[in-house]
Amino acid sequence: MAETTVHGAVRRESSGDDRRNRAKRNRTLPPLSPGDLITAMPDAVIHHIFSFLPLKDVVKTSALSKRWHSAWTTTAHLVFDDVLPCNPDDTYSPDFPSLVDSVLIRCTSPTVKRFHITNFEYDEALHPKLDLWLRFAEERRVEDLRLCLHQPKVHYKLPRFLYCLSRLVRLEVRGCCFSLGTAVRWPCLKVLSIRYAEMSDDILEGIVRGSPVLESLELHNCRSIKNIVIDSTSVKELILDNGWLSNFEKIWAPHLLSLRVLGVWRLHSVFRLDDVSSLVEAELDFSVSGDGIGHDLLKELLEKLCGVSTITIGGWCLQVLSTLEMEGVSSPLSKCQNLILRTPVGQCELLGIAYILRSSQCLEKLVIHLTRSCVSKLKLDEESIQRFNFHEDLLCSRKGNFQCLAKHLKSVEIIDFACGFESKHLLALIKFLVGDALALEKMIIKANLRAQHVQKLVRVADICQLHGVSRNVLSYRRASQNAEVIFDYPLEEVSFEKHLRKILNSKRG
Amino acid sequence: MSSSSSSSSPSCPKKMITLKSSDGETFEIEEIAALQSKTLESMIDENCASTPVPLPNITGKILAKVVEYCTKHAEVGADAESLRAWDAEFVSVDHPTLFDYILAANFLEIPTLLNLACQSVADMVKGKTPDEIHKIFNIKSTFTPEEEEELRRENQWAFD
Repeated sequence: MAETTVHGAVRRESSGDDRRNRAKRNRTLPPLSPGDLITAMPDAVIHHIFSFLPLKDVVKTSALSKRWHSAWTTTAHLVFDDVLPCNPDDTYSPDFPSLVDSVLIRCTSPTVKRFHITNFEYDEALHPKLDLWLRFAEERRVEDLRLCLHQPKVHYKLPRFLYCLSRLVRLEVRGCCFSLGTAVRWPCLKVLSIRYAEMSDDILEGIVRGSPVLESLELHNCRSIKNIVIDSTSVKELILDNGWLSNFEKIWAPHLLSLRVLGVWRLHSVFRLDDVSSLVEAELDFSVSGDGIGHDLLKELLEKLCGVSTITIGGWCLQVLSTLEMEGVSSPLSKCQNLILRTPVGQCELLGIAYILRSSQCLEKLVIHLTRSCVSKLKLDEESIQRFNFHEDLLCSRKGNFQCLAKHLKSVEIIDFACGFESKHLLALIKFLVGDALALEKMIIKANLRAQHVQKLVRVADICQLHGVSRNVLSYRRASQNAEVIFDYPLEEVSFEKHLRKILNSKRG
Repeated sequence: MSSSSSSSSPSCPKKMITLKSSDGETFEIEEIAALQSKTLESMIDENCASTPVPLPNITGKILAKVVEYCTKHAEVGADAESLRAWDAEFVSVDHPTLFDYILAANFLEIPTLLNLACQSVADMVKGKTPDEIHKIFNIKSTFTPEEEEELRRENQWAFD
């Protein structure tokens, strides 16, 4: 490391230490051993490497050599995670607050870029201590602050000085409460995530007003917000995740570009999209408990989102669309050009896909991310299940209505094929698309073999089955002369095994 | 396997700049690839890149690889997964080369390469004991056993 840091550190060390260290101050440090390249790196590089490591590993470097003894104290990334210790026989495991104190007292970096406290078991008695830690972060001009309290009985009231952080760029809080009275001033804040917080419409408005460059806002289970009003032109993205406790009524955000509604909701009434006229992208990957609400909500949302060009739909929503299709509800026409589905393709989803294909008359690109079975399956009664039990021709019988297939659909991607290739419904869908999309140029099927479930696929039976299915797909009749069906994994037995072996070796090595 | 189609070059030739390594080798790099280096980008902006740019602290061997990295990352239409795999191959090199990449990326201010190489080093350090780190990086411990014992006690929570 650069000489100045080493000398500086030694000086700081000896101020409080015993005579032994003071005597060493004037001795020159031993030369680096040959081949020790890492210690010779400039400070900025060492800090950069630290930023990729958990705090524990950063602190461990103090035992490497004298040159490294205090390098860790200059780290600008402090991430404290209050997880249970993995070794229950630990004779010495300090409680979390003491640990944080002992690290903060040693930190000498004038700017702490990242300050995270997560999974913190907070109770009222720790209020003053938490205030002190946040003071530390404020004084060190924090840029990325995360404060996540683990199911606190009483929410932590954010101290006033936290509302004026001049360098803050990212903020995430969980289990805290905001208060009116102090004006918010976060002039550099770009990303804000508020989870399980006590809020109100006025507080939200104050936050948006005080963050002139805010780009992304995430509200995760925030009670007491009825109206989301965002007239700021900088906010491009709004994420509403998990509304177990929420009771939104309306969203008014005429400059918003991207809206995501995710997670599990419990609603008594549908919320309205009063003005989202600039939206180009919307994601609906949520589930709702509460009878019938899901249907009404989805209908309302799709109607208001008819001008949006990129739409993502999750499995539960797709199942609701399947029931709407069964009920013969007419689908609102939409200008969607890119459709992304995150869903398994099974019995309960196929009709929903038909519903959305029919309404998206200008659809050019369809991407299906295959997932395992949906977590919250729609509660279907016996009768509905009977009605869903159909054969391949069901799609074909509706095909006259699919305008997009006649003129626009150019590209289809199926991702994570290895996760769903056994589904006859998926194969029926692929066959249908290939056989009826007159403008189709490419169908790309990705198996994502590098992912976790590579291990599972190694069984010979699975490889053979995947091969067989893939070759079958290649043989489907194609409506478009130019259509290419592309697999991103090799189809010959020999090269396939080599391919898998290569991946397994790279995972082991 | 899928094939990526490259667009045919238009009638005007691509703008190139020349880089010169510490051992006198010259390398040509497309201007668009060079823009990934903030250092080179500001030189291009100020029109200082028309003559060969001397890089006195980067050897020819390393500069060749850096040019390869920038060119690969400037390609359009590369899919994220294959690029990740290419990156992983790129940093599967011996330590001296890896640290040379870091120093070059630091000097030329190429954030993607710097992150990639530093993450690689961090992965080697993560979860290892100081003894293991000594061996991996040839660091000589200059502590006496008593000093080391005292150190571990100071931050015991990190050493368990």
